[in-house]
Amino acid sequence: MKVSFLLFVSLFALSFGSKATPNLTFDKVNSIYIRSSGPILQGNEVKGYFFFYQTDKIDKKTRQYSLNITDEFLNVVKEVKMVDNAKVSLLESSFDGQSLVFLFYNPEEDELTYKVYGLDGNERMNYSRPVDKKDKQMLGQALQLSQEGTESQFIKPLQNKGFVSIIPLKDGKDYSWEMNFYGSGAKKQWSYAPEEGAKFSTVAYLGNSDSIAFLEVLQREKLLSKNNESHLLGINLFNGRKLFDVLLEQDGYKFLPMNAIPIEGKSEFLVFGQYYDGEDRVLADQSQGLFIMTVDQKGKAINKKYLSWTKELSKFVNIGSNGKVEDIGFLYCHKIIPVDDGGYVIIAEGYKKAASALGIASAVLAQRYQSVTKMVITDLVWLQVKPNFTLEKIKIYSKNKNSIEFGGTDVNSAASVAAFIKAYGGFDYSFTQKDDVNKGFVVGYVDYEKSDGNKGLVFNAISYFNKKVTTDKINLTTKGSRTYVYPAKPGNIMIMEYSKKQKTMDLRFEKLN
Amino acid sequence: MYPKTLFCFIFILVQSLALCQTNAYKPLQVDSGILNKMLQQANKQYQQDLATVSGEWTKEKKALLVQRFAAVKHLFDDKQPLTDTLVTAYFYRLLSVVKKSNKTYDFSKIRLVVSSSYIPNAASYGEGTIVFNAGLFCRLQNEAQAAFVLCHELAHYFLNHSNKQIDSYLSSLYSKETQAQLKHLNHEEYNKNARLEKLATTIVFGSKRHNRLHESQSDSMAIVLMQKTGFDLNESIHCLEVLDSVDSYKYNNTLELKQRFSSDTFAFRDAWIKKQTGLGVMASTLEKSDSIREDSLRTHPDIPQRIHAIKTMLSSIQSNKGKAFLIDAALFKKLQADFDFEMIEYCYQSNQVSRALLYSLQMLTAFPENSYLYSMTGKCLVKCYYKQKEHHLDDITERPSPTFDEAYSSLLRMLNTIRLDDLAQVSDVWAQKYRSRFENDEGYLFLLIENAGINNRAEKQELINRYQNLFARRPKP
Repeated sequence: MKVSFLLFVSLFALSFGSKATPNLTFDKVNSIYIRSSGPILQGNEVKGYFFFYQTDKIDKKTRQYSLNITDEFLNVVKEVKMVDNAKVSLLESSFDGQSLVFLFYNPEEDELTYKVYGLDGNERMNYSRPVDKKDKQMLGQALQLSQEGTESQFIKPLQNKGFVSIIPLKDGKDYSWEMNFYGSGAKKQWSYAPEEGAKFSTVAYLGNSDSIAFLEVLQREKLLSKNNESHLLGINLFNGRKLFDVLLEQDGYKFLPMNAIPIEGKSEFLVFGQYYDGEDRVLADQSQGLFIMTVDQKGKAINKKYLSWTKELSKFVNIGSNGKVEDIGFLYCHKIIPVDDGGYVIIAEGYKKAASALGIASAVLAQRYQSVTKMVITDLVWLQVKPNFTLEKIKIYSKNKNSIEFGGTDVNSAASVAAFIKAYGGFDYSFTQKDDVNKGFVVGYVDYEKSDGNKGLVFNAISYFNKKVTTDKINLTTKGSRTYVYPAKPGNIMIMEYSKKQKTMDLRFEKLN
Repeated sequence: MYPKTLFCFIFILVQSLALCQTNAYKPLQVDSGILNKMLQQANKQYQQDLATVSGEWTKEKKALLVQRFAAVKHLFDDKQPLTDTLVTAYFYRLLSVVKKSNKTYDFSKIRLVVSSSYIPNAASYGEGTIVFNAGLFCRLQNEAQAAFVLCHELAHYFLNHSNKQIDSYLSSLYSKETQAQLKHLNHEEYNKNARLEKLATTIVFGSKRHNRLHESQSDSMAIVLMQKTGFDLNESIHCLEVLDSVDSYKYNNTLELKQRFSSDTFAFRDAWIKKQTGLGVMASTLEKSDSIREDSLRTHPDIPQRIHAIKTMLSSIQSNKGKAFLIDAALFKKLQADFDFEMIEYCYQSNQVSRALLYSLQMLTAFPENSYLYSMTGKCLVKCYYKQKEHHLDDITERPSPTFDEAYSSLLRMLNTIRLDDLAQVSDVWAQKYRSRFENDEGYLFLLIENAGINNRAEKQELINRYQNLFARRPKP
């Protein structure tokens, strides 16, 4: 994006006591380009934004950059000037409460650099990690993945300690990953890599306590096998050593964790996800329902509850034994959120396979294989459980159906395709914001509405405050401009309107009701 | 002045001062006809200026004149000028005092605009429009200081500073050397922007140097213009001292948000105004920017320098026995008092609602019986409620910023954090708290109607009926 640059001279009003406004414009001569921008996150809370510009060319291979750091209200609090390689890009940023980290990628020198800045705006230290040529493809794929707007993809902040970064790796036909810690107070670093053995190992960062990082590891012996093993892995955040590695198979069931959160006031974690029959394959076969469990610092399950599709959930909705809800399809669970009575809310979204008219027509015309099914994203589902994890209520928030078509839908299970859709941002669910000030949370999702007075994208919010659930919507369709929604400080969203005609970018905040 | 007229004037003056102190303030009416007439005069002058542009860079100069007129027009579009007869008559009397004692100067094209802007400033646009902001007038101590401000802006006009500055800007930007450098830089591939910035900085430094010179010249000429008016010339120094401290507020800045917006049944949350520990703290720890560069970019010389220069000038003037007031001390004070309210009204009407709320809360301590301030505080909360409901709160409130003081920042944090339901309650707490005192006041009764609507209370219709009975018309926002 190109923005106008430089100075504008105030010529007109000769005032009695005004302060300097040093600006002047040289039209069509100079310009700057925003290379990247994004939120600066602490946990899942927006603490500010970064705007990374290329301001000048130094020589063929070197550029002058400017990194503008703003607070959560877009007040510029620091401008950092730096000289770096022409192809460097800023991938992500995070804030640990006392330091900021910016992750740069230099494709020419195959290097990731984590630059740590203090609150005085000065660079404190940096850490570099070479990127093996074999890892480049994985990194490229990971860069295309979509994350929830309020979560960093590569960097997870640890309160006032530093940051952990998880990088996917590929060595030959083996898929693996690596976790690194980078200290922010003092230069300290450790790495953790899974033990060799599995041909295919992927990881999801579930969350952390003061001393432990919880990871969900899905691995299998053969790349094309569908026999996934699900593990809950605990890493000591002080030294990077493995604290526990629990194979998630208990009571004759297999588990697939989807989210984990620390339990306030306790040293335990709450983990939730889907469970499978012991004979079934995780992700490949149909799950039996949802599980919620608390685990201690050793990864041992203390308290566990199964919410079976056929027993618990069927009391609230028409649901088949395979977990398919009438008119909605299967449930993909995005988030579990604690509520003030000690219970929890699970945010899920419906999805189902459907015949693709386009796919069938293309297959017939091309006389070759073409996926003839598509995925349809349906309604948002709110499941509320009591403090003892008993299911209390299910509420369905209707929205327009949204179809996604891509190869492989026919041959893979709906659950695996849903995981793929989640990774590439295909669901309508956007993010969950916890609002500590007002003691509640907001769930945001987008929808495409076609009503008489309105046609276009709408941002919807479901808010939970003072045990009361309210809904709100913001129309995102404006004439002559493109509108984007970005996460903002709790209770707000940032709306960016880009005018194609005037080539201007307008940023504003709106509070959710 | 005839005794009868004088009596009427004193009666009105005493009445309105009393209203400010005890009862209600009624905002001054804006006369659209007068606004249009003033704008037409400015437009006529603008057309004449455009027609007489000739010589080098005609096109560029015309473009700048277009922009200059747009800036003048904005004042009128924004309904900033106060058109009340008492106000304009007073300021034209002030101008007349200067005019009478400076007959060699041509005042025929001067259009004096009194603006309701809260910004403590005055300005000369170079084509005859001189703007005196209410925000500056309210801070002055006497008429002599107001006369100095006016003379300073008149000096800019008589010395033709605005047009000279345009010429100077064009001659430096469109000089053969600068254009050659720009052409050369346009074809450069490396370090282009750094070199452009350097070139721009040189031009801006030059322009600001001219500005500072112009300011010093205007101070000197202001003294000359004041010399025969009979005003105390020493007040020019006091005026600059006032200007030096203008960043502090006129009224008590303790907003007491928790105390004001709580009731027995509604608890104000400290968390709404709590300072967040985010990146905002970075701003307070940043190093001061380059002081040499900052000095070079100032449009005005430092105030101590300006004071020193005026003192030197005054020491050479032998007879300096002027007065602080020559026109009407009581009216001066009344206008100052009115302007404090007018600035609030202007902020509210021009959708600067967070500022209207700030000033209303500040003034409540000084005017605890003034129903206008109670109604305005409530109206601001109601407007915030409706704007937040339609997701446009950002249009009428400022965002917390490191440049604001802590009191205003805490108010902005509250507005930016509070949820719609709670805002409705805060608004209602405020409306009910002073109900028994002001429920027969038109503005306050309107506030009660709005709050009954927001909080879905059945009494809304009853309140509307009462309003119609009392004021013989339907309530209008």
